[in-house]
Amino acid sequence: MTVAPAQPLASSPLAPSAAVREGWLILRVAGVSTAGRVRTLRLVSLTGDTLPSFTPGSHIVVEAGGRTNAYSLTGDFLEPIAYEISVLRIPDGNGGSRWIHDDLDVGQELSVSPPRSAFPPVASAQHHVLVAGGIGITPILSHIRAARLYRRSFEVIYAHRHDAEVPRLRELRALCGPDRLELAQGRAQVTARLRKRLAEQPLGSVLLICGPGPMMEATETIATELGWPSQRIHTERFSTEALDPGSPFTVKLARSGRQLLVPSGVSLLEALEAAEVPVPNLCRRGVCGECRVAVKAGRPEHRDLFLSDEERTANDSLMCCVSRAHDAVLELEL
Amino acid sequence: MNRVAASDRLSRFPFPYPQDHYRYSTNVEPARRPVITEVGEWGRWTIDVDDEYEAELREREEILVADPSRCVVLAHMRAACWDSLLECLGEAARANPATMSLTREGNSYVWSNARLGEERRFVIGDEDTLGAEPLAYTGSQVQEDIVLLDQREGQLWADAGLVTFAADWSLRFDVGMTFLELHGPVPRVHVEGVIPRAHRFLLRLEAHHPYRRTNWTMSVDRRLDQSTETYPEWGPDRLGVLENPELLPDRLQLRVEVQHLIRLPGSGAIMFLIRTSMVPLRELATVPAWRTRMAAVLRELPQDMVDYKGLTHFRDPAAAWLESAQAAAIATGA
Amino acid sequence: MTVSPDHTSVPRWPDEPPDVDPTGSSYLVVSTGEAGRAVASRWTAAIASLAKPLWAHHDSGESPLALDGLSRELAAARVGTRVMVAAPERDVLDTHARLSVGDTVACEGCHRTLIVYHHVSRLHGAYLGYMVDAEEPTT
Repeated sequence: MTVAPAQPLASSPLAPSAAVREGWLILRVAGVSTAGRVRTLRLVSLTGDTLPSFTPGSHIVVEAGGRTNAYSLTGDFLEPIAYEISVLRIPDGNGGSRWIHDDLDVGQELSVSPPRSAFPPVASAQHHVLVAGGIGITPILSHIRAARLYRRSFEVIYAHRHDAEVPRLRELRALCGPDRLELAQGRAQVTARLRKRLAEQPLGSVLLICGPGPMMEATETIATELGWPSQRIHTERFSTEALDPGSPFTVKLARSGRQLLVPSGVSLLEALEAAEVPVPNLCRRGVCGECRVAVKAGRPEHRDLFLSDEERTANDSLMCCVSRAHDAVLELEL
Repeated sequence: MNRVAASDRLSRFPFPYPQDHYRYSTNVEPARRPVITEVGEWGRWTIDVDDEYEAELREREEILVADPSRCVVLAHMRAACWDSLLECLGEAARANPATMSLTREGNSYVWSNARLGEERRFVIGDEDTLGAEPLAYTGSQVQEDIVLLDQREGQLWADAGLVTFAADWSLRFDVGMTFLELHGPVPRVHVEGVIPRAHRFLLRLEAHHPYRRTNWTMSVDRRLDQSTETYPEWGPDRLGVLENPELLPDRLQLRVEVQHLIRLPGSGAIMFLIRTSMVPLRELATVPAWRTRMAAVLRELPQDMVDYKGLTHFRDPAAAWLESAQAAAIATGA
Repeated sequence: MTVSPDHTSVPRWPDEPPDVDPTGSSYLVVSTGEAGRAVASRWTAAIASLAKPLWAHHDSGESPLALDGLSRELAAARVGTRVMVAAPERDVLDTHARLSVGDTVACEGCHRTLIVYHHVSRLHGAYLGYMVDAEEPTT
């Protein structure tokens, strides 16, 4: 019995291209609009096909000006014609947002990851309380679209600063209508609104929060003081660590004495396979445990979801399909 | 009942044993990879439409009329049911472009199915345009059984499904249970870590990356509906099949489920597609590698697994027959 | 027997009544039977010292529970409410008979003999029973 390699769907924009990181898409900037410090981009496929559907609240990672930054998707989520993101210009950040504001133009191409879901809606919730601060409105926008499509009960509390523009306000008003959107300006007003609304929610409601760190923490604190169980509070968290192509490192195979280089952007498993060192593997995503290899020396950089905390600390094995090395050399029992 | 030429059935059969002994494992692998077998191929798509299509869908309809409880949808799973419709019809169209198509026209989808003479224009979220509840409609167009799991609070809840061809379980009873609870009665899989690993894997499953695994048991006669609900009807056959040893190799079937594990993007729900195939021992024995391997698997299978799979009464007679077929083939130089 | 009881869906109740969670904003306490009454009165005393809103209902448990009051309270409850129940499993699951896993019982509908299996549905408040002798010789 032999298993042939996976066939990419013929018309799928996920069909891999040699120049792109595995699974990543090349999209074209079809539209740009700027309002104050916020720039909204419309990204489309090069072939005019629809883009992969995503779970509301998802984000994409964009390679921008040599950096990778994550931005929430704000538009339609079922086989959309375009991905839409809004980027806040951060003058003293890593440069990604500056590049998007100052250097990017319509017609240019961008390399983006497939959508990643880390902030999904709660289907079983009686009611969604969506709390956004500033640019944190972006994932909330796709949540609102989902709530409208699936006719779920929701309300939005949108906190913004005195002197700042309110990103995507007109669209927000159109989507929410007058009864489901509350704007709150400044800390005192936001706190008062939250204290009132969070005390009045029917059992089975969920609270989704996205905004600057301190604002999210303050909102969580208010909710907790009012008796909200932590399972009912969801905050946007996305980390780009796992997508980082990583530094190159050398692998020493203890039993054969061979040495291999694992380049940046290539997994240890891929490097071993390329060198014809057979390692059992299945999921190739760090979850099934099949590709576990014993480590003799060197510290692994664990990026899997299989090992327990103790096993990670022991550093005597790693999942070679996703994990890498903290040290320049890793020695394996192979 | 021999509706279909034996060779077609055999050539598509997903023989489930990678080794001469069988144990439960987290045997997930990426989907959409064709498996080349000794006599044919399977696994190119996540939806499998074969020559039994019309007959099995008629059988499903009869079962649902007699017992509507085989289709259950808890209210909050509406979004997942619509997602599942798009996913299943889309894949059926990709796999059968000569007879099926799913096209988007603005806000609507048009589904065309020449096999059933079905043409339907529908809008997502609008049941009136579909003329049926979406999960029920999906089940009327594909042979797979479908279970939908809602992911929340770190658990997967089997909150909707359409299952007419269950192998000794009851969807109606199990609906609302978590993935871990559902598998509670299965021997070994918890203490050996198989189920916890599968659970972690599913929690991390991403959209547009379907996986699959196989499961197996044996059935008496080509009876698809082997649910707990109808156990009094098919249970006695497990002993009754031994009454006439000459008919044993024609009545006893190797029953295999190809299960696809798919994250539905719009709702974030997990969809389990369960596609059941059966082949009688006599037919299976025409493939030398299969008859020797299955005999070995049956002989070696530990008693608790034999009992859980319902093979208690005929494990030995089935293995003995396969061995005799092997001996006969050697004697005649086949 | 390689099925681990820890992993089946058979409910495992705490050996000792849990303490009142002081972070709740209001409380609903339901109890049946004498043992339940004793537990509930400890809870309501603790809640009184927190000075938070409380709704308590005790039922003797001799006839099917009158739960209309509880339904109304739950419909009006706000996030922050804690619900606490002290009652025998029979009342918590709303089952009709006192049976254990492995016992047999006659089905009221078809009169076949069922065996109680280690598989429990919260949604139905029931254990799974299946025909115990389907695979026995019929002579």
